[in-house]
Amino acid sequence: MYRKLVLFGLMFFLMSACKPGASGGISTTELTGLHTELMALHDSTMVKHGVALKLIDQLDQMILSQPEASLDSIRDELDHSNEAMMDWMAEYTDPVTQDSAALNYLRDQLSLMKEIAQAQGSAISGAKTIMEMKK
Amino acid sequence: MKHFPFISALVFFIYLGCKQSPGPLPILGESEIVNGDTIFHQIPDFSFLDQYGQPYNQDSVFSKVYVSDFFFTKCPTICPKMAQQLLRVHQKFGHNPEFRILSHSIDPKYDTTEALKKYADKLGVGDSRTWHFLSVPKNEISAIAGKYLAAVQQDSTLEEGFTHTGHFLLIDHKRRIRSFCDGTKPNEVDRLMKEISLLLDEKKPQ
Repeated sequence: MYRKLVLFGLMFFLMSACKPGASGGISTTELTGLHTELMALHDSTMVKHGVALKLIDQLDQMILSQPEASLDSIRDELDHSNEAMMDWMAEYTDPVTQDSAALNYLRDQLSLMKEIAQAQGSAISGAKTIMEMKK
Repeated sequence: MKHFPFISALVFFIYLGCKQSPGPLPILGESEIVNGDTIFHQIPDFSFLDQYGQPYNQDSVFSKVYVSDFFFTKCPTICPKMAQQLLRVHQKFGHNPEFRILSHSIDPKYDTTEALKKYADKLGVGDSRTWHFLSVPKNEISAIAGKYLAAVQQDSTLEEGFTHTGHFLLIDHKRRIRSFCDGTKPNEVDRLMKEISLLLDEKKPQ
């Protein structure tokens, strides 16, 4: 009898551990983690938004005194990366459900945000390099 | 024991005498001496459209004390926290004709006059004549933000990217920066509200 009780208890614990959550098999921890990561990346990208704006101002001044295609091109790159960030925010909405659709949506948004951050980082370092060369 | 009332009164008066009222707030930002006069950092002239589609400029804040911040309506992280704190500021000082709040949007593409009005309505301040939501043209954001946040950059290790920092700037009636705080932290905003009262008192004719 004692062995049966132990076995029953063990099976109960195993089933509890394997049972999907109330969100249809979606881990809410993963959802929260993805959301936190996305928002942190958004904030760090927005900080660089200010850096890009400042560089655009400086490039505009340089272009006035020494117009060059390379300066125009990197200026546009900075501008597009900032626009992409604002466009992303205009499109983004926090998921209201906690299901696989929400998880996929956040994964897609994170991947999109990483692309935006990368493009912005590359435009900023490109601008700094060109500006240093032109000094 | 018979001297106790006398000693107590003496201690009380000494306490009153020593208790200092808070001094005037410092004037922040770089200053220079020109012909013997100190020229303080000042917010330059500006002109932006507010949520009513009306031009809002330096004359609109002439002789006013105001709080300024930078935000955008689609911001999902720090801006909602800042807005909640500014609502507290508005609740306390919104009735004062000598006080204003200027929230500068850094997203001119999406924060049109209509979007700003909608945002103000959503916050419950759609009819406020104290809180102005300003749409800043893209090519002017960096310059105006740099002027407002000069004091913050001078006093801290703030990164170059200054348009998404969550700071509130306290500006006096001569457009000089007198204080700032992290607008996402209620305890810092509590301190700023005390400083707003000080500045409003400072402005009153003696």
